[in-house]
Amino acid sequence: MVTVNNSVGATAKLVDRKTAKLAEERFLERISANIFNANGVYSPLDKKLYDASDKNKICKVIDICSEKIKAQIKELAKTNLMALYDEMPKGNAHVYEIMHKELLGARKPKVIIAATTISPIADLLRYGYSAQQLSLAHIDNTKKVLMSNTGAFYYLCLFSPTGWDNISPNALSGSNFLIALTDITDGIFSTYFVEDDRWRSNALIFDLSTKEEKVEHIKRFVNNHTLELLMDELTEDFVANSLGYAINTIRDAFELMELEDDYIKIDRNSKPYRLTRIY
Amino acid sequence: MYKRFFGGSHTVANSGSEAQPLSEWLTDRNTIAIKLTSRDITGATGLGAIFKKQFVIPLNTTGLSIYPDGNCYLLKEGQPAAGAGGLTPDFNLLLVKDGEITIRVSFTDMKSMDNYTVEAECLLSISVATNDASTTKDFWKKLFNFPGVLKVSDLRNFIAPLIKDNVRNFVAKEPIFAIHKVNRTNELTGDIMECLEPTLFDVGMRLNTVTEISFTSSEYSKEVTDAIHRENIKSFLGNVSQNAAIDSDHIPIEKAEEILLAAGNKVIVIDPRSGKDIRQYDFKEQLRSVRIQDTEDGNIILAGGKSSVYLMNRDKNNKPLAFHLPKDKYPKGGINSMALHKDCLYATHSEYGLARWNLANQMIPADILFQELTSINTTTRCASVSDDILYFVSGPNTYALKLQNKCYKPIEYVSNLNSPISAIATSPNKIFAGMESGEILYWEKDRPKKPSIILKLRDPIINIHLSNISSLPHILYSSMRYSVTARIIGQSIATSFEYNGTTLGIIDATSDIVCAIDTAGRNLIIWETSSADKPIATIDIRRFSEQPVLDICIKKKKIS
Repeated sequence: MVTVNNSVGATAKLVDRKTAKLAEERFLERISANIFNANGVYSPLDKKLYDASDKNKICKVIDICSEKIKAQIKELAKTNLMALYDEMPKGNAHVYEIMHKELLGARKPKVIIAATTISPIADLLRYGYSAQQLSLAHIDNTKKVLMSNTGAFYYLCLFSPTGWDNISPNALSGSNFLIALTDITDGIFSTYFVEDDRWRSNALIFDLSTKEEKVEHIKRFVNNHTLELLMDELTEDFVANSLGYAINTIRDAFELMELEDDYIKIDRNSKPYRLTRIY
Repeated sequence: MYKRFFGGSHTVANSGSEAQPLSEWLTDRNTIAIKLTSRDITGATGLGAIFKKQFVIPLNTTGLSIYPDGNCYLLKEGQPAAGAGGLTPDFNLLLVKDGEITIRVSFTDMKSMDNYTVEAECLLSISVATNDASTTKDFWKKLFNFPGVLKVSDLRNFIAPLIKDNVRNFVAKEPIFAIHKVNRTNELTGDIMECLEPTLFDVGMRLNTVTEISFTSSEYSKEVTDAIHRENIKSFLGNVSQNAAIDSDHIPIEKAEEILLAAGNKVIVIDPRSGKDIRQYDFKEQLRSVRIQDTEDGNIILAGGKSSVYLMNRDKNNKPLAFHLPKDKYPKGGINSMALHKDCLYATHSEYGLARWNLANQMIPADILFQELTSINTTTRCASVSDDILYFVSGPNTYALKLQNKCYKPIEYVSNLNSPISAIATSPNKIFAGMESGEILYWEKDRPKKPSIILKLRDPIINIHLSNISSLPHILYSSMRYSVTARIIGQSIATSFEYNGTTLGIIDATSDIVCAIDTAGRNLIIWETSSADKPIATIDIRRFSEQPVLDICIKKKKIS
């Protein structure tokens, strides 16, 4: 279960080219791994779950912005152009088409899952680093390139290494698409989903951080909220609202902290559970 | 015509030529990339169509599968190019070799600032940017847009025009001596990279390094070679500079009366004209050197042994008087040269240095003079007295000791060379020296620190002599060659005294004859100075001594 997080645009992240490229590679790797593990994909258009095994899945890599990067490199640099290009995140979109063949008719893509990175190219090229949060315009441009098939439902996951500007939830959903926005918060991937029933289990494909990473994140969060801990206000719901993680994950993290720290206990008599400090 | 291939017999089409097996393409160093169709690699007919044999990207290559819908996928080595499931539609496969490609670009029609024709060669290291699908796609679309195989020569043809102007402009600004075989790579690299990189970047290639840029001009090279050749000829012919010229009056006209040879323990006296021996003198030990000198007391033969000098007055027919060196050493060599001056006898010995005896005190061993000068050198040679000055050499320098003034500090004539002097010859205003390293140089007597090299030979100089031949001052030298050369000092006219290709060593000369001993020390060859082409006598020394001749000396008579 992935909860909806409403804190898109909370903080900007300063990243350099190398970090941005590395983050892009990690993002695409994790998306690929999640899609590989997905057995079925729900299509809100037909309200059907489609088989997402390898034989029904076509993976395409769409080059969205390499030409733009190259053109800007040529404008900016006279030498070491290829080295500069190598350092840059490429912004390729990985598109997975889930195909289905009706009894009568051709094989068609029913659900399309696409993931891509959007980076502040101009800043990264010119200065080597950027903290520019990306706006709705960036999302719209990418949407135009990726969403060419009107007969399929699109689940898009867009990743920005520098974070997102305040984006209206309305822009992230439509009749034939749902968009999840990802960035890196406290060193782990955080994905923001607009509240929509059509996500179903497909949201799990875009949940890119591992359980271990989430537990560690929760532990760091608790350590940074001592006042709430002392005031007995550090409940499961408080953590869930702040970080957007599932209650199960938060409870696992609490139990781990209880085992590791003799002075921290879970108050299981209260609902929701809360962490308390004993002396 | 495209051939199908799968399994071990892959064959691919080559534009306008015979189909090339894939294995050949992989091993051919002159190829960079190849374009295939999915039918080529999976087989569309026969067994290939049924089993859909999987094609795997070969080692050290990268593949780019290009689909009709425009999608491209980068395939690394070991990855399958097509699945066996039949889902994959037809596609084209571009195979590119990974790693660096060395391109040698040559230009032949450049002109230097001083209008020499220059050939330039650039060695570039480039590679296809195969780590990204987009750049590999650029390579395919913008550079390799023809079927078949892309060769290194194709790439060279693509690159050459791009850098030609840069190289030409560089060459045009430089004088030939500044670029001919001079490494200017660093200076030109920046320009070439700046001009080449954007274009290569456009076509998905990476310029790694400009390894080397070399310039050669055969025109200039020929000129230099000719100049060196001319210089060599001048040097070989002994083109003594005009400054080295001396008046013929400075070298006396002398006539040879007798030739004295030191062979074994004998001094053999030979008549230069008949070639017959006149007399032999026996000494107590093996002789290393011989001199003859006229004094007031008579005609004295000086014979140098291992550690003694023997004086024998021929006129008085006395027994030889022995003058010994101090007995503190066990020398390996012997007395190199001797000279008499008034009541003193001087001798040089490489291991002792310069020795002096008082003729009146024969029993007293020699005084070794100037040990601080001679002990640092391995050789001390030549001793001759002229105008009350004793000349001797030690190592690379010549020393002149004024005997009359009782000045005990010799003037040092510095050669500035590392090689020892092997022989000297003096005239009233100049000292000539032959070096073991092959040079002949001279000093003005009043400029001891400024030697001038007048000749450079490849072999060590063995002997030099000054002779007035036909009223022209000549310098004669031997250098383990097949001839004794006599050059007119200050001119390039030379005469070679040869005998049947025999290599000649020790020489002596007067105005009328030249005599030399072959390098084996077995034959004495005598020429008249007026007829160098044929010797007047060749004498086999073995008739007189089983030992080889180690020194030669002509008894000279001045002709007024």
